[in-house]
Amino acid sequence: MVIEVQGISKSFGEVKAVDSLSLSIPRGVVYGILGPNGAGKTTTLRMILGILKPDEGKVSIMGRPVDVSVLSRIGYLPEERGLYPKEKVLDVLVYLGELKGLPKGEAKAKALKYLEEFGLSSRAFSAIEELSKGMQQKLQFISVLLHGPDILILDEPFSGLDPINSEILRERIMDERAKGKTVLFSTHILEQAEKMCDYVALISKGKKVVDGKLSEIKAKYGKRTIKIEFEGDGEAIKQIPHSSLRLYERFAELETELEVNDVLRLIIDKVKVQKVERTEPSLNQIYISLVGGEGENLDNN
Amino acid sequence: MKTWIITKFELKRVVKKKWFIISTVLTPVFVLLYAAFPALVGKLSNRQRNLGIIDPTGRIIEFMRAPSREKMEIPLKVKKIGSRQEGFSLLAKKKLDALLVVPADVFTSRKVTLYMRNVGDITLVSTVKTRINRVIQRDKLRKLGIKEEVLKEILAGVKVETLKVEKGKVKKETMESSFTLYMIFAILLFMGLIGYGQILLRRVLEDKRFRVVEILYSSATPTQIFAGKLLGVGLAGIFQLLFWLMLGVGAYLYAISYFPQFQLSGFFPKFIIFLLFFFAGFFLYSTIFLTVGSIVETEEDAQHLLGPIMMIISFPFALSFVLFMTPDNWIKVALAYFPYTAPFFMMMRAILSSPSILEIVLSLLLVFLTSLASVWVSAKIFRVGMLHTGAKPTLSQLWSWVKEK
Repeated sequence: MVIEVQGISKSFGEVKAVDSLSLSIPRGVVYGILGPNGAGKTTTLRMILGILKPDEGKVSIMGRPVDVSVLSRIGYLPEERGLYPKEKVLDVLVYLGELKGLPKGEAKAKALKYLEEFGLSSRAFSAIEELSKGMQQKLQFISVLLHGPDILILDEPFSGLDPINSEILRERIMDERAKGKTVLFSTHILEQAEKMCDYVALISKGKKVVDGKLSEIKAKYGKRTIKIEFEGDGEAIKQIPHSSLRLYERFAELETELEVNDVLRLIIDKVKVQKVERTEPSLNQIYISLVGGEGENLDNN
Repeated sequence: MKTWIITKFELKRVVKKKWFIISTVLTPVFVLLYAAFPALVGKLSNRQRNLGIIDPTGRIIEFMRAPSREKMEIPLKVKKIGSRQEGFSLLAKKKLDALLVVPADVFTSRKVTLYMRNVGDITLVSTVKTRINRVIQRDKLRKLGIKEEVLKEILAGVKVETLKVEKGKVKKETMESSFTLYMIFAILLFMGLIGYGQILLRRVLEDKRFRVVEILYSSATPTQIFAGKLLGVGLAGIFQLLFWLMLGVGAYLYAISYFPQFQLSGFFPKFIIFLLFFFAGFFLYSTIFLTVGSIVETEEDAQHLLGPIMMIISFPFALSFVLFMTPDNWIKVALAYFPYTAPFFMMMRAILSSPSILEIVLSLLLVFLTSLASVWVSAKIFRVGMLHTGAKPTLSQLWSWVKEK
């Protein structure tokens, strides 16, 4: 495990933001910490980075407690982004690179390389405030990659990004994984996580609901949903053994343990089947089914 | 190492700003103007006045013509006038500044009339008054049969020369030069504290407002960040100060080569003492600014807390001027050891009286130790405060931050 979190808790006054949370993050995976706003994602990431000290529990990264030398192997993108608005793009990148342990010359060379790659090389000597918001977001992501970290920790990396930049970022994250880097990120947009994560941890009110390999979680907790488009008497559909059913004039969606073939066998003589498909359970559905009503507003946040 | 990276970055951020270069160059110009202005005004008010006199006794006019003897008197060009009409028309033509009408019985009535174009010209009034007084005194004494030689002796003024004794030796030093030196040192310290303290506060606030702090925290420890900012902004202030002081010392050396009477005894030791107390005081007070910057979220909140801080710094500054003229007493001595007043008061004592090296070192040590303790406490508040958002923390919250491991 590249990051091991053991029973960490953190309270702010009366509020327990994180409650006995344990996570194991393997090397070279994309790991998502998922939950609605206020679930304790940012506090968890800050504790992993040592920015906040846990009240209880401990964190180890690459087998060691978090200190400055471990931090130099990590690139961090905070949720609330910002850089010195009056300073020049290159100056700030070199400064942040140096802080991560790069020699000045190397920091400068790498900064110029990344600026080129992200199409910002003409802006190297502009003040940051002169850049558009999208450019500033790219700049901030460059500052995460600059020192070639082994671990990327990204707090809500997609918030505030337009669809094009979201896609660019998604591709970059997947590139980093392909290079063997570990990516830990938090998000409240579960669809986004579903497309990218190898592993996830679902958290609610500071507590872990479930964690593990995404495919295993889906297999274990996902109800099997079958969608049927048909013509004819819907009564036949009701006869299929199910745990839930939504039946409309020509369409039905039901959760059932049966395979598609068995379902077809039961209805094939009674209705005219236009289309039938088994759909994967979404993380959103799993979250809602595990947390109950609390997760309903997940994507509205 | 990380502290040094932060120090360099913060130093560069201050030094390359336009206002820094402008203020570094313009401040000495303003100081010169400031210093030259009173002298210039003084020169104007000391110019020669044209005084017309109607004097039936014929004796006052003779004394008015005598060259001025005292510093406070201004030179007069005296013209004998026949009548008031003539005098008034000359006043109207601006040929005269004032018309003095002396009655025949001036030696008994002791009353004269001065018609002036500008009744606010106090120096002229006092010069006229002093000289007439002298004539009348002389006249009375002469009538009592006192001889001219004795008269001269009686009327001779007294000149007081102030000299400082240091370690049993007489030093050539005047009250004025000591006061001027202290004033320059105190103002530099005060301005440095307030100016650079505020830059420091703004820098920290910026890190918090523009959310840079979390990135810094993921690269360096809060103590390294705290120390880097303190040193970076502090060094900028010290560079600027050294530049000004070099100009000042240059001007001083140049001046004493022409006017050796301005030479101050022990100028350089005092200069070193000033520098040491400047550093110590700067770091002590800067920690307050840093702490405030780390616990507030907006400029307005910072402004509210700045008021009390200004009071804390202004108090020893103002008090030192009030107590400057009083002789050494236990209050002054105590204030020279209390860390928050010591930078001003020990500097003052070093200039005025002659504290021993031991006393100076002890006071300096106290300031430095308090600075270190203050850095320690502030760094702890800074660590948590920089991530704190929402309402301003209460005192008990601050205390819990200090206690947090």
